[in-house]
Amino acid sequence: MPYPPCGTFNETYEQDAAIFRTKAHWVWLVSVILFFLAFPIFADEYLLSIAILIYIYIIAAHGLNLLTGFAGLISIAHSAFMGVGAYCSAILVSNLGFSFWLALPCSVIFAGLIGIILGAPSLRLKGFYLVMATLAAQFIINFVIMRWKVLTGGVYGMSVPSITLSNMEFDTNQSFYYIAFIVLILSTYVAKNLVRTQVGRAFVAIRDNDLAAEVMGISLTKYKLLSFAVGCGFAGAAGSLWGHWVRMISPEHFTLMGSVWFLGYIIVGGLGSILGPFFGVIFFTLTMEVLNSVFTGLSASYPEAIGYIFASREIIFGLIVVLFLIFEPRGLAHRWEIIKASYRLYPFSY
Amino acid sequence: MEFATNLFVSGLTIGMVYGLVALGFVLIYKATGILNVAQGEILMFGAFICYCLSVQLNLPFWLAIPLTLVFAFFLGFLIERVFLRPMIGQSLLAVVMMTIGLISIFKGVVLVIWGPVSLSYPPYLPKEPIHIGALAIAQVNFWGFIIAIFWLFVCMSFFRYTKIGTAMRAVADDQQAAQSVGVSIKRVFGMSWAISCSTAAMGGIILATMLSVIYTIADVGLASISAVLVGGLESLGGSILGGLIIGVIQSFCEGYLGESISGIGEIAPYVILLLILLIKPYGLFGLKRIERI
Repeated sequence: MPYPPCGTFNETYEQDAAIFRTKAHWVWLVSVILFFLAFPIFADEYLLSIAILIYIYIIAAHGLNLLTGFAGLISIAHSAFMGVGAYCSAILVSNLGFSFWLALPCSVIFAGLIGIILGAPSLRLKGFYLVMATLAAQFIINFVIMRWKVLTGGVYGMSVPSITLSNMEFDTNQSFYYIAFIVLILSTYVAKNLVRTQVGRAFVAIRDNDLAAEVMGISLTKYKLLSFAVGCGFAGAAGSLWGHWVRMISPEHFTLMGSVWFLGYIIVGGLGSILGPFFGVIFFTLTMEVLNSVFTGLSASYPEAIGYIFASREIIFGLIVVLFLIFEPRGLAHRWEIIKASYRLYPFSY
Repeated sequence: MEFATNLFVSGLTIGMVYGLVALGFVLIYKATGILNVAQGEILMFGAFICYCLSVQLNLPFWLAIPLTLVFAFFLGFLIERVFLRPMIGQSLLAVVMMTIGLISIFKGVVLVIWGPVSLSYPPYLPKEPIHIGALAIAQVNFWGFIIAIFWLFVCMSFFRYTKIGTAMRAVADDQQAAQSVGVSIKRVFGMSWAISCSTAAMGGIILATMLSVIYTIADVGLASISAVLVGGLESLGGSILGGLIIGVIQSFCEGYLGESISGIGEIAPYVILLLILLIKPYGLFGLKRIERI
């Protein structure tokens, strides 16, 4: 239950529906956006690349959050759908000469369509059976990417041209940052407003009890497929951006473990919350960067330490997910709500 | 014809490992209603424990196998108590993610201790194959097959004739009713995890003897999920049968289509999985759940 600041009274429907309700909210919003717009001016290459990675992962995690957190359909094929978007955009730009600005929406639509096809089992299945169907989807997409050598270059991957706009080229981190940032803002805006509409409420109804939702007149076929389309569409956008950023994509970037990590992001961040993906992705990415630097530091004195970095990433990831599931199953977003509420209600917290 | 027979036999032997892993899935699912995605990793861990006992601690192999099974038995209890007990009453996603978290932890631990290298057991079976008619079957395949069938019958009679086995069936049927006649659900859950982990460890030892002791043998866990689905999530015999079917289909795909489409053998179980889910989602012997609001 969100608590508005003390003394806020909603007198019109517009006020009641506003996301940013008070002047202080707007000040915060504008200053945060300005800060992140100015970020490339003072950040170095390393910080910028982490920021871009975080933005792209948040975009994809938004999609999985809509699909799993809001509509309750568990998918462990999200990374594969990111791959669909990346390859679609790369093929359109380098083989057919599309511009990136057209290829991005195309890859969103294409990933959404593939999502509808592979999400079709969700109409008959749920629970563990659906998990297994998406597991099969993950392996099959990866297999197709790996074997369709004419289009995708197989296991060797394909190189992706950088983004151009008239005669500007977005091939540095400084310039690419702004594209990722703008897409992130747009996708957050879409996700936040989607869950406030009738569609979002239908998703939540399906998550809570799909039979009851159907009895109340929500078309399960329509909304389950729609949630797959939307979720995979976000993944497609993220994949397209990612491909044009790293400029070299191969099937090993879109593995099962990647999909599992996306589930980890939204669980740690908080399911069914728009803030959740932000918290989850930032938390995990920063943890892993700290881990990397610890191991790099260690390897100065113990050179063999670098060999354990992959294994310890796995262990840390597993432990974080397991501990969150046991001790804070509602994620960091819930913790954030509690902190906010206790600040607003202080000193009378009852 | 001989080619086909060879494919059939090699399919049966890999299928038997799928069957054993699938049996582990079914044992847990029947009693607790949880699909343990980490079954493959427990299998891999069992294989490494056996390696540790037999090579690093220099125990004789006939002693290392039962010790591994006992270790896996208690590991199962531990996993249930520490990780899955808090998940009772939580959402499905939480349970799935918990077992996926276990995958990461097991994989990481094995990589830290033993590293990503290919190890092997000391030769404990005679080299020359067993001849049945014109067929020559490797010793490990033959004994693996026997063990899988034997273990299936042990599990089935355990469920049918022992007291705790009956209690487990009662819990699978209706947890509240079972509890009201004095069955300890906690104990049943622990038992089913323990037995399932032992089964996985046995499968791990067999598979590692056939291939080698390396962390990638855990992949068999995911592939055998399709075996579980062919048989149905609630059927013990169905899981072994499903494993054999998947193994044979995989072997034939690899043998006849492998040249034109490389890697078709690895993807075949997942294609079958998707097809089964679309056509007959509750498997050959599974129960169709009727839902009420």
